[in-house]
Amino acid sequence: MSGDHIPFHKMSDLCDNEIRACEERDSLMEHIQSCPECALEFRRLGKTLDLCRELSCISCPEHDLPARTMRSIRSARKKKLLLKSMPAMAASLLIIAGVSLFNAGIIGVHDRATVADDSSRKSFSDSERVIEIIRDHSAAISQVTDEYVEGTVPLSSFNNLRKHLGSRRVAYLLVEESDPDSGAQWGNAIEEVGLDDGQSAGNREPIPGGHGAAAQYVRFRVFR
Amino acid sequence: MSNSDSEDIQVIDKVLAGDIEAFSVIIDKYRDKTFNYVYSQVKDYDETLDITQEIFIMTMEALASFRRESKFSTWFYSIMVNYCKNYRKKNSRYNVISINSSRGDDEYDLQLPDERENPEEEVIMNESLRIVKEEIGMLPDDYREILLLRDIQGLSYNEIAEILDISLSNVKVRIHRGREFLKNRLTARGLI
Ligand SMILES: [Zn+2]
Repeated sequence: MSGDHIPFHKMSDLCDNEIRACEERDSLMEHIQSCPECALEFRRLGKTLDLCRELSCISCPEHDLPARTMRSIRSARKKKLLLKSMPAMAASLLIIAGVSLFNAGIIGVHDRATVADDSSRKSFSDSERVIEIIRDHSAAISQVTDEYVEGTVPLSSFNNLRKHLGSRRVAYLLVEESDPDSGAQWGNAIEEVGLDDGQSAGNREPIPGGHGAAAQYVRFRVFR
Repeated sequence: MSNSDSEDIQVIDKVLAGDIEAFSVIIDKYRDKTFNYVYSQVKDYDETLDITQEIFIMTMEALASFRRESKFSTWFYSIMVNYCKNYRKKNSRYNVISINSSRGDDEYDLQLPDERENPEEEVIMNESLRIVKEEIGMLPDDYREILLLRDIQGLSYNEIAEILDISLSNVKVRIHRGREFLKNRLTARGLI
């Protein structure tokens, strides 16, 4: 464009009401009205912006998008919980085997799994808190579902674990092995909601007939 | 703080307190804008839906890192913009093929997508809009992003500067260039 015509950026400013000085605006408009070349450019710019506005009216035709997205979010969170519970499973296996290498390698896995959202841990769902408590008590987590977190803990640690789980609903029973696949009869489980102050689950005999040298572990489910 | 923004903050507080389901309010509020932003630069419809969904999932996952130094919408849009930018970068069919589109003094790199076949598009938009979408999709990144934020999403210069983390004067320069570029392309296509 020659120096006499209006540069494009001025036209663009004009469209955005970015030219504040009235005199400047008036003189630009005057030029546009008297110069066919600039008038054409200005009209084309106007049409371009009109088409953009038309494009902006297109809305998402999928009405179930929010529901679908929420389903994905739920399942992603479930996977994340499982991932977080993995170090606890691995750690307790090592402890049971009498190996104390936990700090050397497994912690690292945990750190990677939770990197970048450390601050969110306390604020998100209670399940994550539960998993942390379980992990702090040498317990193995075998399952995380929408309803509960299931795990196994050495009998000696269960009292303490139960205390830290506070008022959460817990079902538990004695088993002979830490292996999560060994038959746990949930029908016989003891269920309780909360603990009174000073009360400790281990002061009671948890499962009738389950005691003896072989019964070393407590299988538990902490409900949401 | 605007009403809309304080509503967003209320919802986010709920979500962070453990009420994950409350996040659907955010999805509902921003889905059209997000769909529109993605669809204006991504080839097909199903791909757009997937990306739109991914942006929300990513936002949800990152929610705890929202520092509240800006409006939620600004923070959300920057996630959306970056997601799309990276997506296009990773997908070879959006890669730049350099051709010279000469308009006298300026030369640009055009991005050429492959041929388009989109049955949904015919339902959603008319021929003119299809051409506009196609031409926007071929704009260089810097111009495309800003044009979409300004002329399609209708955001202010200030908001755009925050979202893209560039200066206000840079925003203006890019808006002017993006518009000029698009105007020239639409003129060449005989649309305006
Ligand atoms: Zn002129």
